[in-house]
Amino acid sequence: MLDVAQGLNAYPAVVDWLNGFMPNWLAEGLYRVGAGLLILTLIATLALVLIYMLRKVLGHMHCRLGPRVTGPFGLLQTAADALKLMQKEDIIPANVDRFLYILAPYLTFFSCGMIFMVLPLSPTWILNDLEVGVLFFVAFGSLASFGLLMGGFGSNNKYSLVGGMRSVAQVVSYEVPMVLALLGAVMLAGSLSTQQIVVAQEGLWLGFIPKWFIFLQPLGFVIYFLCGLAETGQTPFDLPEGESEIVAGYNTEYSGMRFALFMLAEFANAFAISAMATTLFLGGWHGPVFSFLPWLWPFVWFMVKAMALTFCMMWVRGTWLRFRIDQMMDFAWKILVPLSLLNIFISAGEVAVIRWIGG
Amino acid sequence: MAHGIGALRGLGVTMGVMLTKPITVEYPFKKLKFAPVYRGGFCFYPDRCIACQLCQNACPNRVITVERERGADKKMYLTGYKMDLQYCLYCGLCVEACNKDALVMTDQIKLATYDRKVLNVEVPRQLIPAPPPATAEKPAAASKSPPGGAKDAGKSEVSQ
Amino acid sequence: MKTKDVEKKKAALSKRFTEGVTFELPKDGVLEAVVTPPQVVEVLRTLKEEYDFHQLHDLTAVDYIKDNRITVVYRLMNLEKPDMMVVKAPLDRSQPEVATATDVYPAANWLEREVYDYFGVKFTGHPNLTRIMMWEGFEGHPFRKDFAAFDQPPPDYDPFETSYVDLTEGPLQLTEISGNRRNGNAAPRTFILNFGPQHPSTHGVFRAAVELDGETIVDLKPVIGYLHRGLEKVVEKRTWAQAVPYTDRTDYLAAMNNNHVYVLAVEKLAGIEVPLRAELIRVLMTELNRVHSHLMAIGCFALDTGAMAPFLYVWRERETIYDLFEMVCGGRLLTTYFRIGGVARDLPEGFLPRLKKFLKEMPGHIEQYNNILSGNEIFQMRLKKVAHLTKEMALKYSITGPMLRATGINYDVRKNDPYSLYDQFDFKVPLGKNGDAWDFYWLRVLEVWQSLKIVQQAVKLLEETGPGPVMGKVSKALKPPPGEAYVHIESPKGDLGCYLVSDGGPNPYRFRWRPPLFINLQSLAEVVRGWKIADFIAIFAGYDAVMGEVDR
Repeated sequence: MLDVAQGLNAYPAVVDWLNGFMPNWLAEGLYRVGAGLLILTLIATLALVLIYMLRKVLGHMHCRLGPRVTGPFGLLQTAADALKLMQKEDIIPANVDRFLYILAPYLTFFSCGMIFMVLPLSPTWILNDLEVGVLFFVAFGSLASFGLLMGGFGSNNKYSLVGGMRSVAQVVSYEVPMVLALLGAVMLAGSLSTQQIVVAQEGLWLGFIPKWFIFLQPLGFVIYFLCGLAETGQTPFDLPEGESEIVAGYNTEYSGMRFALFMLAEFANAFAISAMATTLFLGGWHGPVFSFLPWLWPFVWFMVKAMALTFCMMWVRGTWLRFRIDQMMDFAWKILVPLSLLNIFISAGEVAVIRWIGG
Repeated sequence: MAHGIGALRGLGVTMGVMLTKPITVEYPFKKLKFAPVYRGGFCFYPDRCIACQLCQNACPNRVITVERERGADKKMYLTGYKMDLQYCLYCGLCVEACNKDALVMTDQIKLATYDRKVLNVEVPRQLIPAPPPATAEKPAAASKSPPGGAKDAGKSEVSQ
Repeated sequence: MKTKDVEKKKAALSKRFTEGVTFELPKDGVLEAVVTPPQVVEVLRTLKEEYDFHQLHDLTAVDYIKDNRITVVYRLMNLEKPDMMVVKAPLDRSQPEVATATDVYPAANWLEREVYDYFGVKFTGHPNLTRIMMWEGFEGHPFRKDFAAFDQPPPDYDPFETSYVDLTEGPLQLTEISGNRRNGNAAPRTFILNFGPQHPSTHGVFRAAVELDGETIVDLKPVIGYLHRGLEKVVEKRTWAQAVPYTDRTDYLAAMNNNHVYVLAVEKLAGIEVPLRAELIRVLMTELNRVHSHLMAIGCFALDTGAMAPFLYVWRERETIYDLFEMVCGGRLLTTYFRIGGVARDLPEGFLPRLKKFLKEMPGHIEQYNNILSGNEIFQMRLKKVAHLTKEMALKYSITGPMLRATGINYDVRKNDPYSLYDQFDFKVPLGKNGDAWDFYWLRVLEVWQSLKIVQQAVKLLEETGPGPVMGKVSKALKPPPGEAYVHIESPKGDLGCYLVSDGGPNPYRFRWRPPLFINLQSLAEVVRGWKIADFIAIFAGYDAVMGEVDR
């Protein structure tokens, strides 16, 4: 196991190493380009896996088989679809606001890509361990809704506009309980850095219960998870693209690669929310490490936990149905916000108790 | 959101279904069997037809045209059989009207075409038994062939 | 259903309207009052106010070209007693004109537009007398007997040359629904959203121009006619037996029910006896089809509120019913199984065991739907107390079917006017209280239970009575005697009626389908006004609209 206190951040280590044989500006630039490419690759791979998983899970939940024909067990189905979307004609409808219409998918994709920068995939695998990692995550998480609003407004389609407005209303409302729920974990860890929060969850209580924050913050976890569903527009909060009401919401007019970007962003966002929940509540990359490839195990545990949460999202998606807009707002402001405030009081009490025991 | 128990029970249902066997089959590779009376594409046996035109009269949309001629023995003989399937409802009234099982429906379901002209089908001339010459003594032999006997030889299936 | 107190009504009406009213009492006992055109509205008002005929059951017309008249037929009903009466207004064929009945019965609105469209009868004082099925600018009135479209080649036009229709102008008259904008609001608060005809949850090609204030529906204008195939006219050119496949294609989710009402009407007209076994099979099939249609409605509720899984579970059971239909008649969706005088063929071997297995499994499946859907709090939140259909509204718009029973009015044709063998079966008619979307949904679930109960009894009776003929004595070239017959049944969608007029020929002289959905849909604007878009979708699922029947 690495020295946790020293080797938490890839950024200074890699840049230092690069500085050995190139000027500083080149090293910094190279690191940033490399990080961007890495995130792109990661998101693309994850989306391939997640879309296949979603199709299989939903298929079996629907008494169906899901993809089976393309490749072994239909594994190549998503790749084939991606290929199809890429070679489609790039359609820009006649009366759209071209600037907003073209920019929207990139902005959405960019904002969810940025979240991956602060995800601690393992003790050393974090692109940049910011001091304000959690804040960074929240900021870029809500930036995605700008993209959706731009897409909805720029499409010059009433369905899109309604979808865009819904998505903004939803993200703005659910941001509040989400941040309040995150605060609990932040208070317990005493840091906004994602890596530090994971480190704070190390160890066992009574020798067998892992010191994960979910055991201290069950309410906070549930609130965060529900808000995460809302933030990413998953069922039961899929109002922005509620297909039976407003056709496809903000991406009604999108097709081809732009649509694919929206879709990628959606899946990447779902994974990012799960990964953040893993980081904050499920002990991040903590887990038993075996002697075989010891550097890989934390990453495996992290992925397993995040994937399990993503599966829960799919499970909910396969079962529940959609709120109405006013019910969705009521749920946020009348139920989740008071509960998350309560959660802050609970966390404060817990912090006090822990200090009292420890001190 | 009264208490949420019902919503959780729903999660149980989907998980249960996920773990049981799906009911769908992979269609082009596995096919379900149709009922024997399934109303699919047509199959016509010219050798059984007695040119009675019952099918033609039963059809609501005048899909079927039976062309016939009076033979030398004063009986009717089939000279041509046409179906314009673009108007067909596949209701089966023609098959029901046929007393001789000359027109039957099969379980063929791939009936889509790219061109509606293809749906205007006609039984090839050479498959229709010629009416017996004027001197023949037993003219009605053709209609008594056993069911299925001439299945491959004499049938004209509607297909693409 | 016979008219009650015939003599009393006759005496009172003839006293009030003297020689303006004459009476006929056909064999089926439904009193017919033939009224001179100027007095029609007064007669209708009297009947509604003094004799409680509070529902305009049907309004149609027949073109008697030989007598040079077009007769408008009003069929009135009292649901509670139950009571039925017919008012006929013979009009001059060259200039058919009669006052509108919309003041007395608001449900006459679309029905009169339909008659205007088909026959060219002018209803003076009608609020919006425009064509409803044909497009504006169509020449002639297709249901007149001298209409000659069938002899002409189809018009040669370029499909890509269709003109752009401005939503706020022209024949659709959508300006009237954006009243807000014109009434002095400087900044337009509302916008018009066009739902359909191609939309994921309009169940076909229904179109609704919706005026929205944010997410709230200010007004709504339904537009129908996209699936109009002129079925009633087509059937006039077919023989009586050849009409059966066409009835399948009206409400294509309940083909057996459609077959049933048609063959019952022809049998009533021609006086044909049907063997017991055939009747039993018919009841069995119609009830199975009701299960099938209601399952679809339940699934659509789930789909329209955003859940995919229950919809597909419902398909699983529907597939079994399709398989059963396929075993017996070869068709799955469009069955064409019933024949005049019986059914096409007897039940095949292995049908009853398979059906019994299905009946045994079905309660478990319904339990599953209840667990995943009915018990879900989000689903209940979405449906409960959404829409408020009152008894008065239901009667005003002649609503029938589960929507009517959701308001608490106990009217089911199977109980109130038993046809076929329904008086021998033991079942209940579930009733709602609030007339909200939840009642629309829950009544359908309960009706599935009742239908399964009837199927079970039918299976038992079939096994007890043993084999027998399934076809009565019917002449090959059926020519019913001149006259008319009206039969209505309880289809899954509502009170489905079939009105046949025979002139003694081999074809129906007039074939009128009383489509429950067409009549129910008139109330849509009033029911959804003030609710949100998402509620509109949920309420519309409650109508269980099948556009094949609305547009015919």
